Amino acid sequence: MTSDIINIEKLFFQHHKLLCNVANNIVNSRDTAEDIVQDVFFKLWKNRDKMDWTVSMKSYLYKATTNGAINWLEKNNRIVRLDNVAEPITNTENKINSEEIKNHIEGALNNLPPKCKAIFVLNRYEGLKYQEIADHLNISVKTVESQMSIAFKKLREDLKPILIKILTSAFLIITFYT
Amino acid sequence: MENWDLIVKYLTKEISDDDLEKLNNWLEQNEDNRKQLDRAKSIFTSSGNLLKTYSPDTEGEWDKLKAKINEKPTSSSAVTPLWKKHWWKVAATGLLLFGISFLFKNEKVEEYIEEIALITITTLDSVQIVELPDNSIIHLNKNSTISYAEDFVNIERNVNLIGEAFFEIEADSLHPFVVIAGSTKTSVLGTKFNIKAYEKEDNIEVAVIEGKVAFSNSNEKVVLIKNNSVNYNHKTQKMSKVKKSKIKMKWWAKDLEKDVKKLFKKIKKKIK
Repeated sequence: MTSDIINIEKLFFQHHKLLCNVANNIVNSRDTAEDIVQDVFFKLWKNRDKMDWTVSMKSYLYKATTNGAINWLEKNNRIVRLDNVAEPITNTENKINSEEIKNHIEGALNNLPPKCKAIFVLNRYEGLKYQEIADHLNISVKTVESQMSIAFKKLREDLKPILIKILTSAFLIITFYT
Repeated sequence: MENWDLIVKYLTKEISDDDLEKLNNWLEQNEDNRKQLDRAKSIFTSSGNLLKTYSPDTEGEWDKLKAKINEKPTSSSAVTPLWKKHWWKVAATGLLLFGISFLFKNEKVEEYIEEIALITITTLDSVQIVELPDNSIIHLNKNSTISYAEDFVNIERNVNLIGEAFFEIEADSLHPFVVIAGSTKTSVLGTKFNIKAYEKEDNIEVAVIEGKVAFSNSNEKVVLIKNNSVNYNHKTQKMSKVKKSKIKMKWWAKDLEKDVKKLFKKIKKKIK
């Protein structure tokens, strides 16, 4: 029992930050992200006797966290989103406002379907290859490919109204060359 | 855009040599194509860069997890006051009902609940404190009833209420806490609030003391924050939100000690 705890403690400190960030980028709420990761580790503890400890635990943790985040999004899209209510964009002035653009992009990201968003986050935030994402989520590379396409299509549609601003904004210039 | 898939693959560096050649050919066809790629690139870059990194309190979270791990196997044998320990047996005896409950007529939940034990607690002329399995506390006012599934933490935390109760809900964003009263639903993540829903009254009243609450019937929904309350009339189905509620608060804090003592005595007697 003590050695199990030590194993889990090691994994926890190794991966906690990363897992919270992946979850947070999917569900867009730090508290929820931390609860999801807690849940992942608690389940790992409960199932410790059934676990195959010889395989990569990182990949197991990733998988569990991402699935937890997707499930949460799917459930909470139906119920009420109490946290993170996106600010509507009301500013119609033509001046460049990077905060506004940021909000708009954030809104567009939050509009993605849960699985699509998770795939997007794993690729764009974590820099995972399609093959790795496919392995994590138990889906085919083809599915990852098509989901990434869908993600971009949706982002492009949602961002159409402010595309000019994005193209000319200081915000973009910073992000583009860093 | 016909070459959208190629562009996405290119931007995510997943493009094969063959496809890259295709893409290059397409780009050379005209200036517009290049512009399209630039636009896609800017969306790609700006949206990707918005994904944030933050530093969670890993130490604190680990302590939480450790506490959870350690508490589980010993929770039933932990030293708890006698009345707390046996109170459940008293409350649950004879109040355990089996079968599908009409309370959980929620299409998602229905599949799971076939033979889940339902715990019901009813008060007559005294106030009772009920501790739920998730450590949430319910102060049940006189002449009121609450019920919930024995393993309710596994799904949504659903509680059914007739009468009045004050809720102190443990935060758990994975399991929303839902109070069903009449045709209304009050959903929360973790907060303090009071619900008054006596059967003989036409009005249901929800007042929030802390946090945020969503109150809904089948076709309308309001979000309440601290000090807000809502009045809902079943008959007219009208909802009215009050920004500063004037509800007679804190009935649950009154006589609390007295009630606990009384309860303790009662239980002692029953155990004997």
